[in-house]
Amino acid sequence: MLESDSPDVTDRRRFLKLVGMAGLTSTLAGAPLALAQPTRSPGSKVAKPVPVPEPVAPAPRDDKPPEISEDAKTLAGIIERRYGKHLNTKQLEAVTRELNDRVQAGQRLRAVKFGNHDEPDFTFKA
Amino acid sequence: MIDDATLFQPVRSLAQRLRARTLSPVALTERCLDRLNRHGPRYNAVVTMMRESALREARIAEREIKAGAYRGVLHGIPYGVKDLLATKGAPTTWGAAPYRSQRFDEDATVIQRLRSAGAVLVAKLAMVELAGGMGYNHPNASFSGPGLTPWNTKFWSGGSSSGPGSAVSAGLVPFAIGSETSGSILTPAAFSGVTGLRPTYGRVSRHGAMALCWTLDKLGPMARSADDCALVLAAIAGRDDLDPTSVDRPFEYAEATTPSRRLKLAVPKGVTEKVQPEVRENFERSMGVLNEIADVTRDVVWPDLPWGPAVSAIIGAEGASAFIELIESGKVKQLKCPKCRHGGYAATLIPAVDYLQAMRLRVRMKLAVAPLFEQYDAVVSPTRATVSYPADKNFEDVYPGISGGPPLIPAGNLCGLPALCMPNGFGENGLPTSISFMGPAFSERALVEIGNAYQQRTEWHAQQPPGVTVSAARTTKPAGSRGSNR
Repeated sequence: MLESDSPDVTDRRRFLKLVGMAGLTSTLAGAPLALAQPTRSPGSKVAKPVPVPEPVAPAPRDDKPPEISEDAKTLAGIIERRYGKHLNTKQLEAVTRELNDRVQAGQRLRAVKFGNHDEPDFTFKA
Repeated sequence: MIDDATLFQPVRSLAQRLRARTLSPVALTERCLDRLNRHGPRYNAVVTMMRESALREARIAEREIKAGAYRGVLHGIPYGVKDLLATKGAPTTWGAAPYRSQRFDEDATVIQRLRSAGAVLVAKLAMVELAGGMGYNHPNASFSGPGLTPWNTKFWSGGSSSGPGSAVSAGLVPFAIGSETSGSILTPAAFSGVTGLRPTYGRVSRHGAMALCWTLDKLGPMARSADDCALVLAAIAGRDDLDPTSVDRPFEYAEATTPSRRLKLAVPKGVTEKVQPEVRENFERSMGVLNEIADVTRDVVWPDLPWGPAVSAIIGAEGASAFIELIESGKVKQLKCPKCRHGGYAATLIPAVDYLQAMRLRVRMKLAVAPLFEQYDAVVSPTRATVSYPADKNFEDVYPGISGGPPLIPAGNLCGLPALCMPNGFGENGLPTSISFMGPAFSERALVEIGNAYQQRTEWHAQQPPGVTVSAARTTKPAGSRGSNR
């Protein structure tokens, strides 16, 4: 049941197809501002649970695979550029899905309205 | 010769015998070491046996007790620790292959405090690799193999404090120290059928403990009863200059007290709607017992806040930072669970803004739950929506459609609140179910008193898994039956 860890060229093409950016990785490599200027994903509404250190009871399964947002695809390109040598295609696909979940979770966090005075719950001490 | 039944006695009973010198600390330690050797492998519970140092500590305890220099209820009591606590003279593996040879030249503060109390460290116990920080989805997520519950070894003992859960459950140690970031004491306590106490954030020093998430990590006891957990907490709680998050709130506890007035308990709306039927039935029966000591309000609305996204962003970002070298070097490949081998990469790209939004939310979350605890002494719920998971399946492939309702475990951890859980019956496949009590910050005494009252009226905590003793025969009591205080 353990996955292979060795990257494979055919699989790599499959990953690029998944994230819809075959031929895009070289462009991404020269685009370090991709994180700073994310594109908003219009379709994301509800965040799926992402991993925490205890098992989360699974939600009812939807047979339809979740749509991967443009943000997640862009971030997946960065992961591939930075860490691709450590990841095979299956793993990159899983990372992409997790990025998708995290992007949606981030949107839920940003949807909470705060006042300028609302500080994070930690205190810096000099 | 110490019989097997002795190994299932609560700490307070063992302490009485040790103090009266009808039980020898050396003999008790040898018996625990023998059981850890003999039964530990069956549950994948043990990483490192501490035989030499344990016998040395036990001999010291024996001499001191004989000389009348009795240190207190933990004097001469053997115990185990989750293998994320630094221990001089032994490896500290964090449950992960890349750290199998790791050694520290000092003891964690908790170990030092337990030694001062006269307790005897007999073993370092198994855990989910890196306390689950890389996002495991399978019980087989430790180099020592999947932790197995003594109630049915085809099922998981829970994580990430897997070894502490199974070792206490099988009578290999009277108590153990676990850790919780978000569920890692409560879950293995529930799946192994023992009592677990998650202390308030800051109550117990984490100095010498593996850091997964600085703003969420906590250490706490797992034992046979609420009373035992309180005795251990009293020994380890308090300010430590080596952990700046620790607070000067010592926990004093001597007698097994129960609530001095009628309590008010809240059951959040939705906590039993989608749980397994046996979990619901056992919870309802427990509520029948609790009605004797408390007024219970049902369907209390739990604040609707993004608990899941917040805890995920915080653990993800802090965990990725804590293990950035492991992730970036690709050494995560050496981890056991396939998901853990890639689970850290996405977290490296969590925006700082998302992390800070989550940290700002924690202020609001604490404010949102505070009014509940002005009205109620504690919030009560099933600890888990299901019994344990099969040891050979991914979590997402079992129990589809089952849900525990409001995410009380993430919520309690985000707010730094204490919780106490204990067994309250059995469900599918002979596996234990569990009930939890969560209170406001630093309400451990009140929670323990509720637990004492419950356990004085029931015997679920005194049950023994099959095959762990020569004469053990599980006596699953009929609904509503009661037993003596043990």
